Amino acid sequence: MFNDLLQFYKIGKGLGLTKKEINQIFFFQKKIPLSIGLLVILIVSILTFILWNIIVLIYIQNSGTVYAEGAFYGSVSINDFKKKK
Amino acid sequence: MIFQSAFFSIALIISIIDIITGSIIGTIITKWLASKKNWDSSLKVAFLVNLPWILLSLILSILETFYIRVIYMDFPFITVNMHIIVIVNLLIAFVINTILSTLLVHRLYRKELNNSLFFVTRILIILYILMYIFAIIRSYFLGLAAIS
Repeated sequence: MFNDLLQFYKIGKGLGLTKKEINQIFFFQKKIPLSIGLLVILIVSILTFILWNIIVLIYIQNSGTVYAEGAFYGSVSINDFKKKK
Repeated sequence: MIFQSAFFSIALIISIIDIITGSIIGTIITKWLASKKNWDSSLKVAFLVNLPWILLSLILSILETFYIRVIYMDFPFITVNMHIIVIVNLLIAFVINTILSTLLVHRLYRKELNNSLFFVTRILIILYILMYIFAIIRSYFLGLAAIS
């Protein structure tokens, strides 16, 4: 694979192309316009912001104490777990 | 309890003071850089470019105060690193801020997107560094933890 890449660069240099132009060979599609790129990044970052805060909120909500407030941990016996089946 | 609620109110007021200071500094930086490039150097346009920063900072400070209230009052035994929540929010807000301001500069100054992006990035980097220094100085004098 690396030999192929080197071959590409050698051929490109032989044709008188710059490094930037040779690199563009690897992207076969047309260059994406900056405006569309910015809009995509904007939408993705807004979604990430919302998702991150939802994750944090869910984590906080589910990180409370397991037992009810004021419960004595010593009062929990093995039988309580057996009944749960 | 009274002290705690007062603490959160003070934290929110300090954040709002930070935002007002930041908007003034941002407007001055924008005006300075625009006049340096021979662009329209009016205060109104410079303020409008900083509008996304003001709105996002307001949202972030309200969210932060809300998280601090929930974590330290409702779930005091929870093990959450508040700094990670704040830093991730700040980084995402920086990206959103940069893009929104770039679109505004592109629209208001009628310049290419490339130039607008470089212009906004420069303003925001200077603004974030200055606001960080301001927050350190402010927390040092007030004796409060750097909340924003």
